[in-house]
Amino acid sequence: MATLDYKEKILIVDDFVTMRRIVKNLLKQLGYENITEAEDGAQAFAKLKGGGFGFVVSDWNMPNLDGLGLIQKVRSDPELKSLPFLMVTAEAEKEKVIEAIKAGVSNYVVKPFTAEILKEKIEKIFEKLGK
Amino acid sequence: MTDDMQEIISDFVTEAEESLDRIDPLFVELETNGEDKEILNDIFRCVHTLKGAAGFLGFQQVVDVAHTSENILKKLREGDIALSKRVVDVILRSVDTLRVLIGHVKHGENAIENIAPLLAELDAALAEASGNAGNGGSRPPAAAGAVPKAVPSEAPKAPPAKTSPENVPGTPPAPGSSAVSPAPVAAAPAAPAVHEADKAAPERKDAVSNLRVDIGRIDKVMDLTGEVVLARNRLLNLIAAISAQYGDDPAVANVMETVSFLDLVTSDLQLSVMKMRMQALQKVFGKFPRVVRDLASAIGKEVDLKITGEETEVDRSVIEHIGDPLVHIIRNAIDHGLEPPEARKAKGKPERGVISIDASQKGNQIVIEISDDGKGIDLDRVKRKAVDRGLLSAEEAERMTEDAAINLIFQAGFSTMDVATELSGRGVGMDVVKTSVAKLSGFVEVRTRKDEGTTFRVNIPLTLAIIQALMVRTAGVQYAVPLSLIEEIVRVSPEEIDMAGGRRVFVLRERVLPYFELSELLGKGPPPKDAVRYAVVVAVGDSRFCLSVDKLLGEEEVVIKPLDGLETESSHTLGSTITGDGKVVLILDLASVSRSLTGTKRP
Repeated sequence: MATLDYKEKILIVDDFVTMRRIVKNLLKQLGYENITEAEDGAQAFAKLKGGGFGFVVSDWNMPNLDGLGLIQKVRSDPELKSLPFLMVTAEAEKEKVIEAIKAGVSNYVVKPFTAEILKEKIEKIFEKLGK
Repeated sequence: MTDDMQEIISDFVTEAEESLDRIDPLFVELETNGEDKEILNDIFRCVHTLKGAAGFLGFQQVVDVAHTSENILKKLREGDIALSKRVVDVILRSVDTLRVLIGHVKHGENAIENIAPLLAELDAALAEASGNAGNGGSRPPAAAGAVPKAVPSEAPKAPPAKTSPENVPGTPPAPGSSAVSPAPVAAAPAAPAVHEADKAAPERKDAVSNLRVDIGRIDKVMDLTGEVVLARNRLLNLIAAISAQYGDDPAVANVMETVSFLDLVTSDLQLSVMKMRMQALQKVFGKFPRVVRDLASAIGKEVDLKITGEETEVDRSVIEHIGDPLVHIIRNAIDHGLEPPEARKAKGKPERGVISIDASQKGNQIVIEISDDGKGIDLDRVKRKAVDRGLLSAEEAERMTEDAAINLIFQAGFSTMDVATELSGRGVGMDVVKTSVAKLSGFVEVRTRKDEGTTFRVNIPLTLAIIQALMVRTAGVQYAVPLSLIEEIVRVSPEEIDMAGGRRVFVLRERVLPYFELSELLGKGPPPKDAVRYAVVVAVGDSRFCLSVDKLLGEEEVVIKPLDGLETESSHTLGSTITGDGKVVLILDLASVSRSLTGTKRP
């Protein structure tokens, strides 16, 4: 089954350290080890521009540049426009998800989620890419 | 995995506490500056993120409280409801409750708080506010009603798990009817994001170069550095002895050189470790606007708070312990210091009282001043009360200096208010302030002027772990005296000691200083007659006095090792240390000595 390669470099974007650790922990449970963190969209974009990333898990609500701003910037960047991007949202933001989808997120996941849900989301993203 | 979990939870607690600490001052700012989108957004984000992480970690009560307050915050942010006192009060109460809940997590307690009344109160406040803002009706009413109801039970579920990928691009998971509303909603947070982007650069740099380190590890480094300092001191002593004997040997000269290099590096190391533990007082001062707001509004006084010097850095142990005594002084200033608005008006003062807090570093000391422009302390009343309470005799009160009279307020069991008010009350008096500050090796001074106000000045040493000390010997025992409080040292012959008012004094350059024998103070009896004395002139705050000793042994950097089980206040010791020649020596606590000498009661 098509899924994210275990060697791929993953970027976790969240302004809350605990959240980054939690997501990192979940990814590790799935066998992913090559993980980098950024604490807002602006920092994330700078890191993505540095190259080498194969997947992004980003929070929505962040200072400086939020998740929506980040996906918009990523999609309009020629080098990054097809980068798989998973948006983490809270239930309160559900109604806004359409906005994120329009902006081009590959999929979204609602907090809180388990490692299994995360795995499922990743597989769906890469299945679609594989087609 | 459990270790990982432990670490994540401990990170969560730290971060949650930081987030919550940020909220109080933001709200006070909101109340004074009016509604500000950016601030509201900031507050919303704090609560929102907290909820998200708590959801993962299964702290359901945190999720419930955060979620319900988030509903109100969301409405505030989107301008659906207006900021009212009721709304602010209830959100601040939620913040307090969240603190309690996080506290349970921190201490690994499974305690359950009764949060139902708070949740009901939050919903009621939202309902009331929404009712008032009836004209904000551009929003679909269904959404407004649905959100609060959905609250506690649905939060932890993860409904979109079942959403298939094919569904994603086409149909949004949220009710299709709301398709109109998302646009303006999303626009709000996005707009500030853009112009904040230029501010982002320096912050980003900060974040990357910061590293969170477990405090236990830093303390360990601190401990070890202390040991290195002690070893260095011993080594300096040894090498001095060796070079006196074998000074010509080039090998000894080499060792000398290496030791003096080690000496330098050790001092730098010590300084660096000290800095590692320093944090800005902002962390403590940030809580004060809320304290002042709550208290002033509760007792009907109008107060402006001015804070300066919050960037001053102090040791983290000071950060941890200085908050309560400062809050107590502030409460006291608002409750007893400032007059009610009418009384102020009658005196021709502005109706709004002013509390100023200022922090600064003066040499080796951190000085925090808390001033009010209130009525000042009525010293006659203080004395009368002290006599009534049997703390001193009428005659003693008569003779007492102003300074000594002010210090009466720090005596246990003293309170000038006949009825302890609910606010300053809490069953503790200013004596607790004194003891807590003394535990940090600091002291409190008070200056007061009738109708002009009162200033409490809290002095705390910059570092609590390592100090410069003067080694002295008296009655055959060696003591270390903190150098930062010593003004000068004078050789005194017995005939130079005079008597004044039944007390011994020493006149130094036309200044009359009270003169005490250290040996007597420590209960070891007077020194032999006609012996040559060395008077150590000590300055603790505004009071100066001489402590006389047999012999001066020189200066040394000492590492303070706390003495367990010793009543430090009555024994006048800060702790012990190990000297360069390997002896255990007690370190005198000059602040405590000063209190017992200049106060009314002898130890």
